[in-house]
Amino acid sequence: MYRQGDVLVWPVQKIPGSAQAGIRDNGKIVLAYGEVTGHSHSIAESATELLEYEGARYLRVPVEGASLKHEEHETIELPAGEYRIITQREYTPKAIVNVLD
Amino acid sequence: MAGHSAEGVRERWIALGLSTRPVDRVQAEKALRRAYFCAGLTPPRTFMWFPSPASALIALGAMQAGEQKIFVTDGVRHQIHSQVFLDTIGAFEDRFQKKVGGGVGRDVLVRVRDQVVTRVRSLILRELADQTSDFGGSAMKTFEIEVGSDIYRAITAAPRKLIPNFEVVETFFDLIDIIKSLQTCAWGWSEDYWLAAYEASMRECPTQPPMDVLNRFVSLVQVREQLSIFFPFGDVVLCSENPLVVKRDERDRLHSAEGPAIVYPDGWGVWAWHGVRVLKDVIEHPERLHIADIETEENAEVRRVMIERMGWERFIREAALRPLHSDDWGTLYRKELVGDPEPLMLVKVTNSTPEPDGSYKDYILRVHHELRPLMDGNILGEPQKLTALNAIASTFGLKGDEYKKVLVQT
Repeated sequence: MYRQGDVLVWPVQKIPGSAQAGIRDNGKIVLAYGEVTGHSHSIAESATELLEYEGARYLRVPVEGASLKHEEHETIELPAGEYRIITQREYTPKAIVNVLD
Repeated sequence: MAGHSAEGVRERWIALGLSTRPVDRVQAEKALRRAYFCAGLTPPRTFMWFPSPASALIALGAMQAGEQKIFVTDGVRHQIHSQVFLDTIGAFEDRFQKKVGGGVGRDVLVRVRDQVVTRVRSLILRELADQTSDFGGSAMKTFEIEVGSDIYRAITAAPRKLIPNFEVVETFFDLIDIIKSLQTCAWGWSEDYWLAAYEASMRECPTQPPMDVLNRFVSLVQVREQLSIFFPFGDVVLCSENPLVVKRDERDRLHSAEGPAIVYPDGWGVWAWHGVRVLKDVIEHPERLHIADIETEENAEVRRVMIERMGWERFIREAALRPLHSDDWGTLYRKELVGDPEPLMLVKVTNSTPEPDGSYKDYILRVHHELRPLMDGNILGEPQKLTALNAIASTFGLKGDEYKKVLVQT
C-alpha cells in the first residue's frame, strides 16, 4: 500500500472485469488535482492503465512499473500489480467529502 | 533561431513566461498581425489593451453582453485558436517532426510546463475562475471598486466604428455567465511549453522545416516574445499587460509574505503562500483571521496556510481544541459545539516530505467523532478507538490496523 499526500494506492487481488478505461489528461493519468496549487498526482507511463468501475478507480501497472509523481512529494515507484485508488476524505455532518487541496 | 543550446531555449522560455517587462505594444501588435497572416487569416485591425487578464476578461464579457455579439461567438473563437495555433503545431508535426521525443525537447517541455504553466499561469487562471464564479465574493468586489473605472475607460476607448452596436452592461453582476464561458479563450495559458519544446527539438534536427511551416512557427514564437496573455478573435484582439511583479520561493512556487505574489498594473493579482493561492488577508492581515474562517474553509491546503499564518498555538487556544490522543501518526483533538450533540473531531497530521528548510507541513482534517471509516457512497464504517492512527485511517475509509500496512509514504 502506498500513500502520496492525499492519495492512497491500495493493492487489490483483481480489478473488476467489466471496468472501463478512464480518461487521460494530456497523456497522463491524473489521480488528483490541486485546486489552489495547480499541482497533481500523476503517472506518465503510457503502459499503465487507468480503469473505472462503479465510481471507483483502479490502476493496472505492467512489469516495468510506474512512477507516481507530484510536485511537492517524493516520487513513489509502483511495482507491477493491480491497485485501487483511494482519495483522502473528510467528514462533514452533511456528507463525506473528498479532501480538496 | 540558431545559436542557442537547449538549456538556453529552456531558460529563455521560462524567463518569457515570468516576464514583468512592460509590453512593447507596437511590436506586439505587429507580431499578432504576422501570426494571423502566416496562418492565412486577415490580420486583425483592432487591438484593445488592458492592464490585467481580469480586466480584459471583464471587458470581453461586457462587449459580449451587447445586443449583437459581433466577434466573440464560440465558432470564431475556436476558429482563430485552431487556425493560428493548433494548425501551426499540426503542420509542424505532420511535415517536419512527429513528436517531441525523449531528448532535450522533452526536458524543455517538462521544465517550462512546470515553472511557467503549473506553478504560475494555472494559478492566475484559477484565480480568475474563482473570482468570476463567486461574483459576490470579496476579492472581485474589491477589484470592481478599485479598477472598474479603468476597465470602463478601456472599453469605451475602442474604436466604435469597428465595433458597431457596442454596449456596456450596467453592472458586473450581469456578466457572470458570459465571463464564465469566456475564461478558456485566452491564448497563452499553456501553449508556451509546446513552443519551447519544439524550438529545442528543432535545434537537434539536422534539417530545417519547410519554409512555410517554419514561418508560421516563428510567427507564434514572436507573439509570445512580446506578450503573454491575450484573447484573439476575428478582427479584434484583447491583450493583457504583463504583471509588474512575480514573486516565488526557493522552490519556484508563487509566494510572497508581504503582498501579492503576482500583481498587474491595475492592482489585480494573486496572493500565494508557497504555491497555495489564498485570499489577500491571509497574507497581509493574518491577525484578522478568525477561527470560524478556518473551520468553514473547505480546502485543506488553504486551511493549513491559514493556521500556519495564525500560528498553531493561537489556533488551538482560540478554537478551544482539547487534545485527546497523540501517537507517531498525529494528534487527535476534540471540540464541543454549543447546541450540537455531535462534537467536532479533528486530526492533525504531518506531511512526510520535508520542506527545503527541513520543516514539515501540518494539516488538519475533520473526522467522524467515533472515527468511523469514511467509505464510498457516503457510508460510515464501524466506530474505532479514539487514536490518531485510527483517525487518519478513517480518512481513507480504513481501520487503523489496515492503514498500518502502508509501505511507502511521501
